[in-house]
Amino acid sequence: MKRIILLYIALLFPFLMNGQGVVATAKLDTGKVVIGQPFTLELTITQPKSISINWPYISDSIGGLEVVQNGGVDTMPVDDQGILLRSQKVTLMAFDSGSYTVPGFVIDYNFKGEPVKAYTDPLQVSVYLVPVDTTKAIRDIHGVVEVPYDMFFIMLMILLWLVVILVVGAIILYFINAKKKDDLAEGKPIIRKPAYEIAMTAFNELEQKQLWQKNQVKGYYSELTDILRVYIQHRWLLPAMELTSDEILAHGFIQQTDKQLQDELAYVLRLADLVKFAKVIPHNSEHELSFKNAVSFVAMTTPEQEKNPVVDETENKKEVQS
Amino acid sequence: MDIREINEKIQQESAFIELLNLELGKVIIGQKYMLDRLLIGLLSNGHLLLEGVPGLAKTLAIKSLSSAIQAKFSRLQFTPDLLPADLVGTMIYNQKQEQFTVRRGPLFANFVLADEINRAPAKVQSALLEAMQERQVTIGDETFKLPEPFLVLATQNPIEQEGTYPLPEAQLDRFMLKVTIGYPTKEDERLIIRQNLAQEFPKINPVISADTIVKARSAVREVYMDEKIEKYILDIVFATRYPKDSNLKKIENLISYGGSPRASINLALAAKAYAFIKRRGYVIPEDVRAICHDVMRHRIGLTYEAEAENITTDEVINEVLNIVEVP
Repeated sequence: MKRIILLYIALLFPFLMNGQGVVATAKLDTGKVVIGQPFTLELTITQPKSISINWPYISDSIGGLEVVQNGGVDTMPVDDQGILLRSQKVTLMAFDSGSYTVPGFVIDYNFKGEPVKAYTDPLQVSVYLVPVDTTKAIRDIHGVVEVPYDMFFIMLMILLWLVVILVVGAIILYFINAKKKDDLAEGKPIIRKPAYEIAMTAFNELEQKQLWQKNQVKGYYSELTDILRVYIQHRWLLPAMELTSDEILAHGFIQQTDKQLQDELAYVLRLADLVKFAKVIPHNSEHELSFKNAVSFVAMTTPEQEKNPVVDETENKKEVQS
Repeated sequence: MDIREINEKIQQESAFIELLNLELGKVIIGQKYMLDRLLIGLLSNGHLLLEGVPGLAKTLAIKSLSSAIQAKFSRLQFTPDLLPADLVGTMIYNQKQEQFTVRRGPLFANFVLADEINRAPAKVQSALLEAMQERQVTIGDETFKLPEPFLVLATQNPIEQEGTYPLPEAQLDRFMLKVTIGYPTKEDERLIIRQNLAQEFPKINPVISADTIVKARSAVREVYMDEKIEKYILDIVFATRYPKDSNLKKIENLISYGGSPRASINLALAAKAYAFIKRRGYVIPEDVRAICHDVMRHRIGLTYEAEAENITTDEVINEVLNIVEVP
């Protein structure tokens, strides 16, 4: 380590012994360039902090070379002894071939009251033309190069969208399944209510409303026939809500039922038509008979197993577990 | 008026229907559908457009009806060279009196059969349709009322469309009903043959007067129509106008225009007349459905898509009736 320090001092000694304490150097990053090719000139000055120097002025051209960019002077301390390293980078360019000389720079400064000059060496640079093969024919410049499809990018985008769709689908499915499991856990039936159950519930509700007792006879018969129409629609998949009384009664499914049931249904529908469209107010006993006939028609045309359904709880549990 | 009173009145006023049907049945075999529609037109003061191939007793039906009602009948064969004056009449110069006198045309009758109406040019069609609407005719400076009852039965041949002048939609709308008639059944046609080969052709006797018809018309207007039926009629007509709103999206592309307010009015009137024929004092949904095709058939415009797929207005009406809820 001691040796390195001594060597450093020995190398620095001649400059220090120069008495002025200012060392100026200039260098180019290359000695050969092609016409129009930029290159850099770096001017470096090492000086004690106490000395004030006149930095050489860089004009628009140096020795026939054009100054393209003139960088600012950069200063940084070299050591704790007050030695500074100052440098400036200048980008140069030549627009003609030949040999150029960058003249040496002169740095003026005062040392102990005496004017002193420091010099840099002149630098040589050769500028060449672009080599042209004259044996070949003259060609036009290249056309616009088309950018090829980036299959990787396309595939990536498709993949990304697929992933997004799958994720969204999975989320939706998750919520649907969660809802289904909740319903099963709560014992809610998934299958639609049987026609018989719907009709009987509606009959009970109609009875509780006591419409004809409140003189709402038209409303009573409208609801009564609606219950029957909905029942027929569910039972035989007939569009009964869009059929007239005659059309319902003439339908093959109704014609296949027991004659007495047909008469009971006809009684209700025809009386309801009179109430709804001809302002007829039937006797109270006729209201009750209509209701009885309607209930009887539903009860007699419903298969026994539908009236007393056996709910398979184990099946529901299995679905919950899955 | 109480519904029972209306019912009783209708029962009385419509008693002639059976009598009329019996009398007409003597010469017209089958074609009950056409006779019912003729009566509906007569009772609701409307006119009929009849579409059917030749030889289906169209002329015989209206001629027999006029005989049974003791009314004046005239027949007009529409041809391309027909002029409006040939229909309504014209001013004739009377040399003896040295002045123009009015010569009334064949339109001055109770029952007018306008045979093959689409064979005459538009100006003749317009003259007839104007008379149908206004129920009066102007010849020279004078305006003449047409007799009551006044029923026009226009016919169209569904085949041989070359050289015809199809009626524009606006003029079709003036016909209350467009009735399509088909061939009689085998059994009916057997009876028709026997009747025509017999030595004597049954004679129609007058069973009612024109006044009875005029009186019956006011009774028809008294037939009770509940607001539920009114709503049903409106639902049907509106479904043809705005199919999408009535859950009929599949026929939306088939309809270019739906029924006009005249369709609603005529559907209500025709339903009342149908109830009257059935001797009822109130209208039921069956009446509306029975007459719906005849009232709406010529009032719904089909798109090119529908025509390209050979879809008829009757099919569109069926779709509408299958969707609109019956009250």
